[in-house]
Amino acid sequence: MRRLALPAGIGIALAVVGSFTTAFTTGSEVVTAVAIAAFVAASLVATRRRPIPGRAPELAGGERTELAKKAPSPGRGVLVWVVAAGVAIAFELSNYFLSPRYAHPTVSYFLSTAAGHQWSRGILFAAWLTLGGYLVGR
Amino acid sequence: MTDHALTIVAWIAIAAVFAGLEILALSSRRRFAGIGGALSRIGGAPVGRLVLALAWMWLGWHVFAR
Repeated sequence: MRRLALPAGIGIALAVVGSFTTAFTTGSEVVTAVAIAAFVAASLVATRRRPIPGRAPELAGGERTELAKKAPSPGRGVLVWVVAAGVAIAFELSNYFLSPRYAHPTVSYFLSTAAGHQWSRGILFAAWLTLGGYLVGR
Repeated sequence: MTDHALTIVAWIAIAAVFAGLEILALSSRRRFAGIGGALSRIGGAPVGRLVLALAWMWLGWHVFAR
């Protein structure tokens, strides 16, 4: 719990500061760049701590844990997710290249609309940071 | 129906498919991978991890900065 307190505090602070910024300004670029830099730093630390695949972490006596010896089970349905994501990306790209933009809205259209208010921008920023934290902590 | 409305309906259908897959995963007691399981699986490989990290960075920069 205490381990999460610092990153959570930094994330909340960044989301609050980010909610006060507007896209296409130096302030928004700085806050987003700070978040990305923190993500890269945390990813590097997590990568160094992550056990080598196929090699279980050693216990004090040089033994290896039974849990770590087991390979991760293949997730059924991952291919379905990949196909669904591929369809969404293909639709996004087709809308991106069609015009006029209003007739063919992309994900950016919805997100820009959703981030139009200070409070909603703060929530979206916090959601983005939470997703980043999840990716680092996996 | 206008192109704008049709596109929005298509986006809602895509979102419904994603939500349906997640509900299927939850109701199958994780025998079917949810979005978290799929991300873990993709991020299990170094290339997948890199792709997910770059996608996350691009999303944030695209929505909040540019």
